[in-house]
Amino acid sequence: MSFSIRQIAKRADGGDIIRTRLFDAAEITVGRGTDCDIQLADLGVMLRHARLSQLAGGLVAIEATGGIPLEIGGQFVNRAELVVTDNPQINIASHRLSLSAGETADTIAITVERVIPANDAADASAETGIFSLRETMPSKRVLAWALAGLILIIGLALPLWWMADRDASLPKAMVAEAARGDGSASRAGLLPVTPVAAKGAMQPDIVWSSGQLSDAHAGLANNCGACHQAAFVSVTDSACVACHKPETTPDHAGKARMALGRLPATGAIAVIHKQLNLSETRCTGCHKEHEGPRGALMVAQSFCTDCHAGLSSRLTDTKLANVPDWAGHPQFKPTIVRTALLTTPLFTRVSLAQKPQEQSGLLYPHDLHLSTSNAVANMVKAQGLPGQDGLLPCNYCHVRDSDGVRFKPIEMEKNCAACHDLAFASDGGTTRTLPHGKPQQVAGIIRDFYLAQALSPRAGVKRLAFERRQPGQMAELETADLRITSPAEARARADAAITGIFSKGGVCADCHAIINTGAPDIARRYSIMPVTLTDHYLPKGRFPHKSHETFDTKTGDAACIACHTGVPKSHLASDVLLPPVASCRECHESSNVRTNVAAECSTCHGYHYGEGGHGGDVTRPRKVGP
Amino acid sequence: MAAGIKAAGKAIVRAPRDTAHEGFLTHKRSRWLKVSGVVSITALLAYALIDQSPRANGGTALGYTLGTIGALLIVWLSMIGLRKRIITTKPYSLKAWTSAHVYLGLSLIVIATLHTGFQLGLNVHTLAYVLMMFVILSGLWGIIVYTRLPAQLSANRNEATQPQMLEAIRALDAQLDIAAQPLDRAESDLVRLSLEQCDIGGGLWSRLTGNYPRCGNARALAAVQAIINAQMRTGRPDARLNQILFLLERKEAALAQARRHIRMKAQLELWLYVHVPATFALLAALTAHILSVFLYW
Amino acid sequence: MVKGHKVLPGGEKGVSEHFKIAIVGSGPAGLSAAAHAAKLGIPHILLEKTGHLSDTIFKYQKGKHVMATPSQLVLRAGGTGVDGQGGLPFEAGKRELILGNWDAGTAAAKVNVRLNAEIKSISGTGTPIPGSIQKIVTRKRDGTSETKELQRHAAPYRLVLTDGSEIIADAVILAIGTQGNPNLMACPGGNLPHVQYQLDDPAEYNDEHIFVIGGGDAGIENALGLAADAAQGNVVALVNRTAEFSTAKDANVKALMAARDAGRIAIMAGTTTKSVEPGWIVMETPDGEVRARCDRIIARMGSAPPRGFIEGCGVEFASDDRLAYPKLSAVFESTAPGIFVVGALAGYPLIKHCMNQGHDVVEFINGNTNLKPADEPILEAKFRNLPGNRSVSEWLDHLRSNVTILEGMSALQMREFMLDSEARAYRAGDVIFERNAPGSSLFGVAEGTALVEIDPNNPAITVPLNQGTIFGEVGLISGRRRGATIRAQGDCILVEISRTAALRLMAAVPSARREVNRITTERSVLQIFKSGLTVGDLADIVATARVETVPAGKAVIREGEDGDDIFIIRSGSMVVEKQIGGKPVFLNYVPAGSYIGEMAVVDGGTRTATVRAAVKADVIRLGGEAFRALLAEKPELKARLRADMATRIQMNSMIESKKDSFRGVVEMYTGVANFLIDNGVGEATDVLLIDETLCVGCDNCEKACADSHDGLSRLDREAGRTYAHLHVPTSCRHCEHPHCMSDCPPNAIHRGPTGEVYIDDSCIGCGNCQRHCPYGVIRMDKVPPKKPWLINWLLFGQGPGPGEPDKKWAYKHAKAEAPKKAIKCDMCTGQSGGPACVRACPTGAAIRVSPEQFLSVALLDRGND
Repeated sequence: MSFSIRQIAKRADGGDIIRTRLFDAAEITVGRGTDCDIQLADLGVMLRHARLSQLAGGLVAIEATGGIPLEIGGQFVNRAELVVTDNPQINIASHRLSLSAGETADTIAITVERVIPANDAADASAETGIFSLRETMPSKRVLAWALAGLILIIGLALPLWWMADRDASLPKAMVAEAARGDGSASRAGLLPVTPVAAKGAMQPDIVWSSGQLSDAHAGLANNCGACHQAAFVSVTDSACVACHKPETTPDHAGKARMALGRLPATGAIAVIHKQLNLSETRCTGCHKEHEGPRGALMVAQSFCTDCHAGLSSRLTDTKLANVPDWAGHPQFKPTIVRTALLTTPLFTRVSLAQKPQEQSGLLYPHDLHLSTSNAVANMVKAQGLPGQDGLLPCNYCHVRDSDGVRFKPIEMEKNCAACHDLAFASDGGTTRTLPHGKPQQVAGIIRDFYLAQALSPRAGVKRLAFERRQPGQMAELETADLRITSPAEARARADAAITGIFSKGGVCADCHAIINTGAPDIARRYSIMPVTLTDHYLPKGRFPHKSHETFDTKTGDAACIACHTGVPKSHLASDVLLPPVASCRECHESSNVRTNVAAECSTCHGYHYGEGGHGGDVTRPRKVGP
Repeated sequence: MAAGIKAAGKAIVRAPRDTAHEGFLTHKRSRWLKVSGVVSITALLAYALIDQSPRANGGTALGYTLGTIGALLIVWLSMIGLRKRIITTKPYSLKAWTSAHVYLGLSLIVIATLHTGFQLGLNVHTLAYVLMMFVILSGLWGIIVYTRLPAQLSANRNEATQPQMLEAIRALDAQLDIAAQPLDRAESDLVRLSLEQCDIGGGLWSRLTGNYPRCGNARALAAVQAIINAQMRTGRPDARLNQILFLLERKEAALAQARRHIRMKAQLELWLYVHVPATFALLAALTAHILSVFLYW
Repeated sequence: MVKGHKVLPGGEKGVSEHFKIAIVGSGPAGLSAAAHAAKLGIPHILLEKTGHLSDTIFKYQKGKHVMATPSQLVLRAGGTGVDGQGGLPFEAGKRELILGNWDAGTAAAKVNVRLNAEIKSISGTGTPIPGSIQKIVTRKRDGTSETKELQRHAAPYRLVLTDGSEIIADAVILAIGTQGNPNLMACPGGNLPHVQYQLDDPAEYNDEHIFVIGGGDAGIENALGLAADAAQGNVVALVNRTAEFSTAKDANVKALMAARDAGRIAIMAGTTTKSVEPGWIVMETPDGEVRARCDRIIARMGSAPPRGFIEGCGVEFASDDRLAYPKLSAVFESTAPGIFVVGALAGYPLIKHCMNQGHDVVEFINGNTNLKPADEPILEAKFRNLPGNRSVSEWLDHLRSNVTILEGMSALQMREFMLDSEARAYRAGDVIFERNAPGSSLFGVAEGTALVEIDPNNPAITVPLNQGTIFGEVGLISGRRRGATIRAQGDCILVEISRTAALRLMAAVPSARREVNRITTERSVLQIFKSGLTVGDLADIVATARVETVPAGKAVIREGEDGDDIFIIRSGSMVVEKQIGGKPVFLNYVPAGSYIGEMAVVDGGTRTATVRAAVKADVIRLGGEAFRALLAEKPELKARLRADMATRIQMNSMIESKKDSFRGVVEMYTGVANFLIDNGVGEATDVLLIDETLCVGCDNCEKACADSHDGLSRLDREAGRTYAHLHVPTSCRHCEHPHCMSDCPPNAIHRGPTGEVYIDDSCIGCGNCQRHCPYGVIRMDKVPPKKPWLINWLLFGQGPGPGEPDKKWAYKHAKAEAPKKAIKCDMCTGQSGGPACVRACPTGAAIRVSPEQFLSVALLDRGND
């Protein structure tokens, strides 16, 4: 009855230390306690962990005495009887007891060894890693790869792949819009463009967009290919011209003159541009995109003045004065009528500085018509025309045209006839009126009137006088003696009447200058001086009256007069009542902060439209008379 | 050896070396601070004075210039990773490199910002800019750490090397293990808590904050202390437990030192875990930026 | 009558066998001698003290790679076959292989070996040799010495063994090496079987109560080894006679204390063994007698050099210096006719030398007198390109007779000496060495004349050095750079004596030592006055000169004392301190070659400051009176001295002025300075410092070091002392007198052209230098395999990355088994950029400074923060 125990300890350098003891007893104890036969220095073990007792027939009874079940062949038991010959193994914490038959019949060999090494086995130097973050963080390398990879995919690979087979067709609507080429005002930046929503889903290459597109081009947001047609090639004019056809976007001036007039680029930049063959005249030279809503039209002032500052030196035959900048903008030179002619009136440009006099052929004293006390005022009241106590408002005659830039032409019938009527006889209720602008006919009508009375006089026919009266209440003249006895008398009376009308004090002479040809035939003797009214004084620019209607808190006539200061005092139609450039400067780029507004060239002038692309319109003179 | 003697005859002048006792921030009387200052001011003046129509951005002549300078700078700055590790035999001073790296890196703030012309958006270009600023800021953080911590680090280390710190703890573990042998289950389990449940380093958060709520040793210490206090009230405390307590306290102290060391090391290293990956991200974004700008010119 | 040479185990008492040659010691020398004797069929016996052949190599750690240097030396003893035909085989390889070959070789050669045969005495049995009386001087601890006279007797010799048996031999070959015998335990029971004097494998012993006796390194290392593994369950106690472990290395003591705190070792300081009984030991402890259980006693109480025994045999030594070797003839015959000395004991530590000598000496004894030594070709090479074709032996005699200090040497010594030295011919005007060139070799003028340029500014002013004299001794003794440029006047032939050779020479030949000392003194005194004096003027000053050795920390001059002696620091360095406010304030650092104490002489009065040795220093003390006399007659000298003093006085006054305003600063300065000196900066020529207010612990210095030196770092940034954030890492200081050089068998450690101390690749990995370095900056390691390209690591994490690869990786990727060699900082010689550690420091924390600069570091920007 004995146990032979082989206790195996591992040496640090790997070797084994085997200690064997023989217990001449039927029973041995296992535990951490010093009093145990098999002592296991392992805190996982109870002080007295188990008891082994040898039974007859090669059996061993093992019993947990520490209250912790023993692990035998995978099961946890508190007591077991083991057959020694099938070499059972008992696990106690990190140790293992292997039983086997000993040398002699009644000895049992127990091999005790630690199967789970103690934690302080590893050497310190190996563990110094715990002092660095390497063990707790993903390596910098991994992070770097991951981030860089992600960015390269989204920022480069995807867009490139997309770019390879993209559909660069232009949106129809926008092409059409551009082709119509109207909205010159809007192009002058006077009216806002409503951005066209971009069609289609967002594209991968959007990440390459360097900024928001201008409203006009907003529709191309998902269509980079529309402009950026080839890789590594700066946007070409062909891309622009695809929509903006020359006929709707004319050149600023003839190629030849442009070439002459342009300030040639110099310096390093010019060289670089040359190297990359970026033409100085390319669209993108002036029009920068991806610069926000107004980007494409945000053309720098300097782009104009670069050339116009010293234009005359390069373009020697130019009529244009040099314009260094707004402050140096020359005085307005309105286009005025030098000789009014029915067929080909003559115009001339005279600087306001030279107090120009216009020969429109019409007589119109503004002061007379803008009085509140004279006959005109009474008449206005009597006729119930608009205006405060008889003061005729500007817009009675000057009516804004549709786009609010300029004014409808003035017409005798619309704007004058209310007071200046041409009735001359009444025939039983019906009032006979002379036609306007037809002097021969007028003569004819009057002569016929008298002749008719001579041949077959009728009662109830009255001649009317031309004094200013309420119409219908005119003094009857010659009612009694309108019995003409002889044709000779009739002719004499007719001649007198015609002469009266056309001569001073006559109804025509109120507004017109009369020419006495002295022809024997009375009907051919008198004719009217032709009238030409200027339709557009400053054809090279645009002045949007509409947006100036209220000005410096004034409205209505006050607003008009604020600029057209000469009007109330002018009693000659020959006065040119335009405000000088100075009065623009009162607000535009003025030092007066309250009213200060921008004054870019493009505020008044255009580039790509109008006559010679200067943004004005052809003058349309108003001719009067046959 | 004979060769050795032969050479000995000559008074060979020692390779010139930097014995100046200056930190990287003040290297050569802060030469690089001055350089980058000049660079930045020049850039600012150029931006202010040169007319960039219609508006300032990367597309103007100045914009391209600044962009080129910036890109080159970024590439050069990222080279320090190589310079640091390629130990050539020629004269060079990594200190000088660091100094230049720091100050030129800071000047990049000015250069790159002016290059953008303050035009930012949701695109790869702005991404590059943001990443760059991020890298620079993390670098600033690094500078702060590098200037504040070393003194504390050496003070805390107190001539103990890292292996020694670990050794100390391990030795105490061994002693604890031995001292705990005669204890009964409940008490020895407390010791096991300290032996098996005690993570010196711990996760990132623990490392940075230096608090280890689940530290086995602390728990064991508290528990043993409690037991001893209880025993004190009734009579004399168990001498063996007292020994354990003593050891646990010493281990706690050792742990504290090691963990303070770890905390500072973590702070000294962490910023690089931001700085370096961000740099590579930046390089990627920069590539995308430059390529795309000319792809869609 | 000659008895057959069959092995007689033990040998019966009384009956003494007779052999022609008895070889004592079975090291390489002894073995090859025996093998050769056997080959020649000479009746011989090989006596080995231990139970196995060649004990020294047997004791190498397992698997140690043994080198075969010098490679240019032919192994004439040895063929490679193990049949013994070609003599004993030997080539570089693992310890086991070599021992195996030798055992096989000796067996094959039928060498008559007797193991466990320790010689007690050797004495001549023939007639007394007239007039041949040897004086044996034995020194005691207390300094007294007694002289014993011994009458030599002619051969044959009687060798008495410790087991009492005797052997008679016509010739005795002593090949017992320098190891000597361990000091035995004197106390009763010291001879019991469980008392042993060495520990081969600590892992042999388990569950034993072991007492290690002796607090030296050996004892401590054994104790630690035995207690290292708790699993062995040994109970280890270390017994030390004194309370401190003064003789042991710092690292060892630290480890020991740690082990004690961990409860693995019991330390019994101030304890002596009283008696040993089977299973027990009785000790005398400070608190009374202690009897303790004891299964094993390992006594490591140092060992007595074999000198005593050898002298007892009638062999005379060259001098009583520790380094001295026996006087030997050209055929290795000692002063006792018929006793030959070979091997390490004869001054040849390398295995190849030993084996050749073993072979040669047998040849000599066998009557072959015109055998040329094996190193003949090496010497021929040395003399080949000298004018006047002489044979090697002629050259040796020529030099010996022409250079004064070489005169005292024997032919054999001269040969060995020349192996470490060079003979050179210089043409007229050649520069021999320049001022400030580093160099510790000594030059002897064999023919012609050399010129010393005294005045660095004016090379015209020269002093001639005539045939026979020496120069370069300052470099040799102070370890500092050359003081002056020296040119050859006419064509001349010089012997350049390497530092090691010179030291051996001075040890072996007293006359040489005296000569060198005299010249040094003279010249260093001349140094003080630069030019303008002749040796004649100095005669009576030099007469008063005494060379003294000052242990580190001891003061030679004390503030406030009277005394007017002047001291010239020959080697080591000193610090000057002043008592300010009761605290010693560091004033100055005085390197070797400078002089101190002149103020008192010039101005009179008491000493103004204290001067103490920073490290162990040699000083020349010059009598003040003689000095004053000289100054009296040469007033211009006085003026010059004053001028020199000015700077120091300035320094003093600077500190004085600062002491109130910046007390803190001054103390910090003192503190830092002292700290640096305590850490060996005092004897350094170039030291790595780390400012820990800047060091972020990136270890880039170590990585750079490893990457610029085939993958092994020579510095440990973390380890080392720190004071006020100034850290002295474990890295070579390139000492003025490198401790590592003191015992390098292959003489592989040199001072390079830029002052660095480096180890060349003739290193045999013996580890002596590592043991000798007090700063622990030398490591023994094998070169790790090549790492993959850096970029691969940078991008894909291939390989271990920059710096020294960790052991696991190195082991995994190791190609061939590489020998462990000694590795230390070489200051990146040949790298134009200078030390990589400094170049690679990103924050500027790492700086390398020389002692002259380190004070500025101590002051720098600490003064004003």
